[in-house]
Amino acid sequence: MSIKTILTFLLLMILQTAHAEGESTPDFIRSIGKIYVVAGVCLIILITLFIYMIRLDRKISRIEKRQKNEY
Amino acid sequence: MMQESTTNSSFRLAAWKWAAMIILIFVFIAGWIVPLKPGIIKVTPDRAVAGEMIVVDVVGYNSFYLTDTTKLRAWLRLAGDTVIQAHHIQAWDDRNLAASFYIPSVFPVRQEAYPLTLVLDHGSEGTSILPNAIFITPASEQDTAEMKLWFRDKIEHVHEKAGIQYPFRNILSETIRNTYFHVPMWFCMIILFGVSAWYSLQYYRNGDIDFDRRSVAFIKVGLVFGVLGMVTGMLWAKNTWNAYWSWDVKQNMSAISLLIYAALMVMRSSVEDEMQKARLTAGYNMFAFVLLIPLLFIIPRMTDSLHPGNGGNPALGGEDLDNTMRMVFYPAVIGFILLGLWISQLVYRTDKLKGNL
Amino acid sequence: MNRILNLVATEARIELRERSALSGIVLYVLSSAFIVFSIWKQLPPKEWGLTFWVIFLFCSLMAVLKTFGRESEGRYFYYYTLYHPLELFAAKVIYNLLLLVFIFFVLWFVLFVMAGNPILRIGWFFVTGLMSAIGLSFLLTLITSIAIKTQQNASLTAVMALPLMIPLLINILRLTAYASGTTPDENPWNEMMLLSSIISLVIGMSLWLFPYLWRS
Repeated sequence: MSIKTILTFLLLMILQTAHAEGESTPDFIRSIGKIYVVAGVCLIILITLFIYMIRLDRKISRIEKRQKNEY
Repeated sequence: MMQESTTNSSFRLAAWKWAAMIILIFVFIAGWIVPLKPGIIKVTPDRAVAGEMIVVDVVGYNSFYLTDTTKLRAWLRLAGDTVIQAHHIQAWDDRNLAASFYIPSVFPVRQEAYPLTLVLDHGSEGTSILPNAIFITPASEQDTAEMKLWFRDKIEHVHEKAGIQYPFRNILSETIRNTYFHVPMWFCMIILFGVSAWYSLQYYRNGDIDFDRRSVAFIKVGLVFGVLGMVTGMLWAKNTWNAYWSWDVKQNMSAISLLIYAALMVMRSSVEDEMQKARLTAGYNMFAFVLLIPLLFIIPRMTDSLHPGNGGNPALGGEDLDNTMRMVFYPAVIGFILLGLWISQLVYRTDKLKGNL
Repeated sequence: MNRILNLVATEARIELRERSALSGIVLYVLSSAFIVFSIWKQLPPKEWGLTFWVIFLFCSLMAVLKTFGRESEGRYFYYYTLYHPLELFAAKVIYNLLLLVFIFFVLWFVLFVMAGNPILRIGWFFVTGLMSAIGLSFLLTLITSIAIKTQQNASLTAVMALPLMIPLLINILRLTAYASGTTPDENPWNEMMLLSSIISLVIGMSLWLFPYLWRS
């Protein structure tokens, strides 16, 4: 559950920073042909997938631990 | 412990998982390093009166105006072969040039304002186009003799830039690369939901609880990809349409499909009996997937949309994808689908281990 | 067929015996129409159609949920031993269909009195209403039969049914816009075809899945 909240929080952070940077220097994220949008998209995909994998990893370790206790 | 180490040493990664990794590495590299063709970002002034000499400043993108300055040619196009060629072109630097045109005071067609398209040809650097670059308001005095000026010049012998490049599209510019990262998310989601519906059908036939576990794993991962597609789309929309959410038909339909499957997960969590849960999931899953088909494939085509790739055939339209892009786009779709299947398998195996305990 | 009609008659008799049930629906229609109208103050043709279908959707959701929620576990078991699931489903659908058509006319009358009638092609509007009643009665009956097996049936019916209704709703709204002449589109047959194909999908899927889901 906590991981889920962290995940949503992180995504929101990315969106917010992207948004904030867009405001302070009006053209940062839109500069160089909006290449930073592509960068943001790639980062969101990679970070989300990594977080999902980490969550899965933790789940598996928990199962392994329980399995060990049973033997 | 002994057993674990032996299973570890004999562990082989399946070929399609290697393929997924290699394809995705290729996609990430090719998606990033291939440059765009030259384009035109801005033209000032964007408004002028007919019957006068105008000098327009052109801001280019990925352009090298200083190389071979003599090979620069520019036209303003009204329609088809109705064009005006620039008298003189002066390149200031690689990305800025000034072109002077004489706009005739009469037009072959009668309109309130005349949007003209700027066409720029630059030797080996290729052609770039900006549609509706300048709006011309009609002149107060009209000289019918100037009509023939429209037909004097022709756009001919234009060049294509050699080498591997992605096309430059206005509004999109560099974000055309999102075709390789954002669009495959949706393909992946649909395929994962489809596989899940197929496993639900298997559960319907056999009643084996294992199929239920599989179908749920695929829905979980499909939802992750759906959310990714939506969030990446929103980031793009914020910087292109100036709003995270603008009620475009594609945004709505994708949100609805996510809502349907989220409802399925909520429904699962509120049923206690395992068999009941599995049966209700299978039924609802198949029902939802069948209804998803008109939602995702028919209704968006019947409605106007600002989304790139629209105009009949979403995402795979011939206009938005050229052959260079196809060489990266298809691998991207395949790679992300394989990755999605891989992750779903891991989720399924985890759930199975958990269920067996 | 007779057995199905018998079931429908039983349903109707139970419903009519409790007078609060039917009048409850009428009051629901009336009060929601009143609230929406007092927010809008006046209804131009376009908003009239939207208001109509929003109220219709929520009323039908509530009405269908009620026909299921009324019955106890014991009655289901009793039915289950007596009737084939498809007979039961058909009876429920026919009864809900009648209910939805009833709601349709009540709501139309209420809005007619309150805000006038912007519908120019009345035949098209009724056909649309009938089609949507058919589609929604099948869809809602199936979804409600899933939802009542869970712990929190009322909210889950809405959560599961509303997103699935949207493909129907989009076409219904387009046809209503055509019926009230607020769209330049002069050829409604495309939408009609799409609507009827979606409805036949819904009918086919629910006839296939209901006997399976009903088992317990």
